Amino acid sequence: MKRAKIAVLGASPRFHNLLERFLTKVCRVRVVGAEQAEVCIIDLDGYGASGLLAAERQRRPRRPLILLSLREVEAEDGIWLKKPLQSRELAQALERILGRQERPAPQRLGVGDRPPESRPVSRRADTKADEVAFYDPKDYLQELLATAYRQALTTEMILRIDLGWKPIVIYPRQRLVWVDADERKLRSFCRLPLRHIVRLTEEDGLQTVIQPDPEAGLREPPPSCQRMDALLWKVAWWNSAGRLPKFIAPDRPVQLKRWPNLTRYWHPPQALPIAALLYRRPMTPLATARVLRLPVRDVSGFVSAASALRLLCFPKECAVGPDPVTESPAVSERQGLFRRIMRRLRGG
Amino acid sequence: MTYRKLIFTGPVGAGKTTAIASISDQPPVRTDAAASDLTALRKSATTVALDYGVLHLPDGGKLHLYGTPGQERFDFMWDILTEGGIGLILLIDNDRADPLHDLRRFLHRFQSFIAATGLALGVTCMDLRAHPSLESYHRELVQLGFRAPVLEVDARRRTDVSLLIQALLLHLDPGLSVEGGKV
Ligand SMILES: Nc1nc2c(ncn2[C@@H]2O[C@H](COP(=O)(O)OP(=O)(O)O)[C@@H](O)[C@H]2O)c(=O)[nH]1
Ligand SMILES: [Mg+2]
Repeated sequence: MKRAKIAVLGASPRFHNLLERFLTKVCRVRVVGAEQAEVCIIDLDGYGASGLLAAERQRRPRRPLILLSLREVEAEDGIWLKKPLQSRELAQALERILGRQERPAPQRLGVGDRPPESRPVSRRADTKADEVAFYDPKDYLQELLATAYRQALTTEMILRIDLGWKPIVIYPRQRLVWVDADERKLRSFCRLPLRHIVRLTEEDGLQTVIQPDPEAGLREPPPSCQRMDALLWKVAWWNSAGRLPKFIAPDRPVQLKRWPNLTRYWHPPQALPIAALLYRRPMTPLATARVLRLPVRDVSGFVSAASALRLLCFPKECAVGPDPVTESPAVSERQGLFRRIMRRLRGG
Repeated sequence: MTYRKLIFTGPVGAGKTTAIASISDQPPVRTDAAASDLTALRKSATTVALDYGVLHLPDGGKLHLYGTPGQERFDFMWDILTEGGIGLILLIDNDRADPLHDLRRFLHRFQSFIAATGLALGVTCMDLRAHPSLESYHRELVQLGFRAPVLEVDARRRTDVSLLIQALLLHLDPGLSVEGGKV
């Protein structure tokens, strides 16, 4: 789609910069000079701004306007947004003017609908396949977190996710997140789809709970912050609750591009052999469970977390390695040794 | 009974001595290359201080832990030291001037040992400097034709060092964990 052209007039250089970043990175429009613009955003609190507005009205009376100011103004054919500016309101005003389709609102579960966790599929006679359940990451915190990360990193703004639960604040420069909840609370929060917890209006979608946090910008991140990647990893694992993301087929091979940073990520012990196997060669989630003699749900949790951090690739992009599990006397002797070392390290 | 060894290497200050001390069952010694399987070294005129530690295994055997001497004028010893080793733990200090250069240097130096066994890369001091990222290290490895687990490690933490060794063993043999369920 062609990007809409927007002009920002009257804003201080700093505010102009901030708006430009937001408009190009998040709203995906182009910021241009007044001459070419389809829509003008005018900061009425800027120096000489009332003159700007009058001139604009005279020169291009039909060009849509978005007016920003601390005090209310009559906006006639334009839209007035009160400062301090909420990114959501700006995005919505633009959407309205540009007449774009709203993002489809997240699908709602009616009373009596089965939650996604109770939707097993059977693809094969294999008993393991019957155990596979799926979920849509979009229904859960992980997707919201990933979206907020992207926005925070591209705009370099400190963002706050306000779900009416505990606030989550993202500090993109330090790659840190602050969650005002302990592990236990976060984990139980992760069990439920967001729409069971948060009341969202139709037009909102989930995006709207992500807001710049002007106050947080004045402070250093609190010492109890977590790393962004480590938080997303465990949230995705917990959101998965033993299910696979719906876009990953249990019988299609996946491979790890590289090892997850398991010294810093929450994980159950079986994460290590899963990482080792999926790093060495592409393998389907089902085969991984079979080869390692693990329940599929363990593999699903790993695959969900790895997928959330974009550590997975699908075999066409991957070099296929040799089969790591080979049988020979030398190999089994070495296995004996390695197993003793493993047992020792794991305190067995 | 098992007597095998695991080699720790990396530039000075990367955490070899500390890592071996974190994991060893007995206080690490700075041996003058006197361990039984290093007779070749004893014959040489030079005595060189090595980091040495040990892990007692359930069968009564031992896993010897050796750190390569830092100064490169002793690097003639490295080949002797690595003989019979089960794999290489490479520690790179992220807070040095050009850690990716360090990485290339050590990969090059231990190329044939890694090819014959395997490698796990631990990046230390990431608490002091976050860049280069683990992703950059991995990219560099792949460009040079290696594939290996790359983990952030603080050599002072036993769990980090233990996990890095486990990653090495599992990388060498992903079938390893399939044993009576408990992994
Ligand atoms: N801050 C920090 N210090 C570390 C880390 N790993 C090791 N050290 C310290 O780095 C110093 C050098 O380690 P050392 O084991 O002597 O390095 P070696 O020359 O490779 O044997 C020691 O003071 C360690 O405590 C780490 O991840 N972070
Ligand atoms: Mg040392």
